[in-house]
Formats: sequence, structure tokens, C-alpha cells
Amino acid sequence: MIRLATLLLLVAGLCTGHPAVADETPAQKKCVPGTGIEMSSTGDAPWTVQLQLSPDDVPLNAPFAAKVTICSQLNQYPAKLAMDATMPAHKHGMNYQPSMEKIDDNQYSVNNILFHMPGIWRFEVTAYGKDKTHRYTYEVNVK
Amino acid sequence: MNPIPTIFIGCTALILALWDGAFAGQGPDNRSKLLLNDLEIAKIIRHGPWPPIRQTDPSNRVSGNEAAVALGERLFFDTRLSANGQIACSTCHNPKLGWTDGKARAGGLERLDRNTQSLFNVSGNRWFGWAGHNDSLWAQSIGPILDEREMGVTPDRVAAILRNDPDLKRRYSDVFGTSPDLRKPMDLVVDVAKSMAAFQETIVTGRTSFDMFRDALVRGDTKAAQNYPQSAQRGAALFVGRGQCNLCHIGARFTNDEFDDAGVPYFTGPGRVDRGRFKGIQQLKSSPFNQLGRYNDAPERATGWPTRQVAQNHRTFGQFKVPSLRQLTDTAPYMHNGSLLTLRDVIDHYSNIDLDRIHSDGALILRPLNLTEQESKDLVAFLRSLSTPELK
Repeated sequence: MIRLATLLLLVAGLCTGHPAVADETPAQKKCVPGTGIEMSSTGDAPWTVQLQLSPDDVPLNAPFAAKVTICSQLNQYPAKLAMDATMPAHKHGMNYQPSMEKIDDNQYSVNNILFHMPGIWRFEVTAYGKDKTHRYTYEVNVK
Repeated sequence: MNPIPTIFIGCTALILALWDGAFAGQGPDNRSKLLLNDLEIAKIIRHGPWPPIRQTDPSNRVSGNEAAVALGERLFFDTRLSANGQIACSTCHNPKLGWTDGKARAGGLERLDRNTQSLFNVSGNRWFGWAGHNDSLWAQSIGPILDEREMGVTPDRVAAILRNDPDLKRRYSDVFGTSPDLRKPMDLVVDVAKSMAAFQETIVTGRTSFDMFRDALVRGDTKAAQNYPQSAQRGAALFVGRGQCNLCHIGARFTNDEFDDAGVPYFTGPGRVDRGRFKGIQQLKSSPFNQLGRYNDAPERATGWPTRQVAQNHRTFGQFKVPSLRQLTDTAPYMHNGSLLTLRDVIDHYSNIDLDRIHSDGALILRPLNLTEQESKDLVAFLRSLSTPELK
């Protein structure tokens, strides 16, 4: 009977795409595929990072906001997060330091981001883990 | 033999000869033609519309107030606001000289290190001054009044002028709802500056031939767009193309209101350096008149985020404000120290820019354009088209 129950749980887990070990936490529920932009990372990053921009089209030379969501299957999140942006072609960054506020275990709001030149800007999120730092990027063409 | 083909051929040849003769000996601008490609057009139309929608300054409670505009204009031309009784704001910001003074470097009670900036289209700027040491137009208006090198008057003197001149006293009371007798001298200085700012916000340039060209492109009116001279069209293509001028000179005012190092020397004398934006940020942060201070009228000082979040870093050293390119024909000389006398000099500067002079911390934006003679003329033609001829 126990084996049957375990088998049923595993099947249920496979069907829903979630590990059949525990219910989803509120933090994990925020990580809905397609909600935001999934940022690129290199290496063995333990998290995925979603970026939501407000407005969707990044305005030129006007302040905008972003929401950064950290997604983790293990319900473990970085101790600290930082966000920056640069223009790779020009090798310079922003003229303003955006304000960042932690609004949940795995979500941060970033305000008053300003891209003062047209061209390719690269968002750079740095997630500070217990032993290691992981970096995530996303590029946008501002016109 | 049938004569008709011969006659037809002859007539055709005659017509072609006459057509060619009509244009013989004329330059490349004689035929109407739109020279820009779709990508260039898409970039050009972002430099408008003009004029912008008038917006008031939330940090200035009398911005947009017509009585404040009139009071500010009255004070702007008043020489009593100077230690020697001979200098008014209009001494350096002369309306007949494009709201500048036509000199390389400004001079009040003493000669200064920087060029007088024009007041054209100052409303809506994010920063004020070549180094951006002020974050509002009214704060920028306070500096010259009190600076001992410029007008050099004290707050007590400003208070005395307002309290003892019956006309000014009445006007002040009408605008601010209280008598100047009941206000502290420094508060009166701020109020004077806010009135002047309300006036300066009305100094807006008119529509130019470029604006008509740009709007024709937006409408898809190729025929109207072709009225824009071809030299200016070629200049516009350079501006948004190989020149990359539109990286900093963006939008309807042709400026991103930020700062950059354009390779203009910032030595002001033996052993003296103008640190530009680097020092400007220091001055901004320590100013009692900045947007984070008590004189900001905006609810919760919501306009203060740029001042709160502006990044001070090494690359701001030697950076100066990216000026608007509108009405340049009236605001020579150019650059932060007035070192370039003509628009052609400016173009030549960027054509032959010395990268070793740029303190950019590795930022790769400017590079020598190596323009031909015709390209230089075309860029000048384009820049001239951003000015109205009305002041001439």
C-alpha cells in the first residue's frame, strides 16, 4: 500500500511538473513560467531569475521600474541581491544608482532605473549565495 | 520616307536638351528629393514634436502662475539685485543675444571660468549649470544673485528691495499671498528665484525648418519633406548615423540632460582645473536649495530622486552638460568654456577630436569623424536648421 501511495505521488508529481516532495511555497508560486523575462546565467547557478519591467518597453532617458524574482526548487534564496546595468558597446554604466527594496523572500523591486542613451543596455543581477556569487544578464535595445 | 518618326525623334531630343539645360551648371541641391532611408527617418522623427507640452515644476509652487511670471520678469531686469547696482540677470542673459552675453566666459563682478548658458528652453531640464550643481531652475537662479563673483547681493539686501519698493511689495503679496515683511530674508531670496524661474520657463523657441521636415516625415508627406534642403538632409543622416551625435543629443531638445567629456580642455589657469560634473555633484548634494531640502514645494519631495540617486564616480571628472542644440545660431561661442567660436569650429572639433584629451575611464563613445569638407558643411546646415531666424 505504501509503495502504491508513493507510486501515485510520483505520478502526480510528474503530471504537474512539480517535485512530489512538498506543496509549493508562496515564493515558488510567484515563479510562473512566462510571467517575466528569464535572465541568462552561466555556470551552475542554483536559481533562475525572472525580470519584469514596468513599462514593458524600456523608455529612453526616463525612469522606469523592475521586479526581480528569484526562482528556486529548494526554497532557498540568495542572502543578498544587487542590480546594475551597462552599455557594453560604450563601456559605461548608469548615471543613477537605482533604489532596491526586498518585498518578499524571493522578490525585489527596483525603482528609478534610467538609461540615458539609446542602444544596447545589459541588465546585470548579482545573487550572493552562501559560498558563491552568481550573475545573470539580460540585454535590451533602447530606442 | 515617312517624316513622322524623324520629327518625333527630333522633338524628343529637343525636349531632353531643354530639360538638361534647365539644370546645367547648378549644384546638387537643385532637385527635390528625400535622401534619408527608413532607419534614418525612424531616428529623425524621435527628435520631436516641437514645441513640447508646457509642464510646470512641482517643486516651485508659483511655476506657471502668470502673476509670478510677470514679477519674475520684472526682477530679472532689475540691477538693484547686485552689489554695485549695475548688474541684473539680464546683463549676462541678454534677450537680444540669445539670452547669453556673446562672450566666451561669463563676467559679473568678476570674470568666471565658464560660458554663459542660454535660457532658451530651460524648462524641463533635469540639471542646471554646466556641472549640474543645481537640480531645479529656481535653485539655479539663486546662485548668481548671492555669488560674490556674479551679482554679490545679500539676502538682507534682497529683502530690503522687496519691502521698500511699493510696486514689488504689492506684486509679491499677490503672488505669494503674504507680505514680504513677514518672511525671512533667505526665504525671500528663494521666492524671488521661484518667480524668476516661472518667467524663464516661458522662454521657448519656435518651430524650425527641421521641425516642419520632421513632422512631414511623421505624416508620410514626402512632398513637404522634400522642401528641407538636401544639405541639411545629408547633415541629418550624419547626425543620426556615422556621427552618432544622437547618442547624447536626443529627443526634441537635442539633449539627454546628462554630462559627458567632449575633449574640451578643462584647465582654467595655471594649476587650476575645472572638475566639471564631479564637483557639481558635490555642490549639489551639499546645497540647502536642492530637491531634498525644505524649499522643495513638491508633495513628499517626490522630485528629489535624481539628486538622491545620482552616482558619483571617477568618470564624472571633467564632464560637462550636454547642451541643447536648438537656436545655436544665436548662442555663440560654444562649449563649457566658450572656446569654439562658430558652429563650423564645433564640427571641426568633433571631426578631429583628440582622444587623448578625453577622461573617459574607458568609455568608448567619441571618436574622430574625419569628415570631408562637404560633410562638414552639411552638418552645419543641419545644425542651423534647428534654429529659427526670428532673432536676426
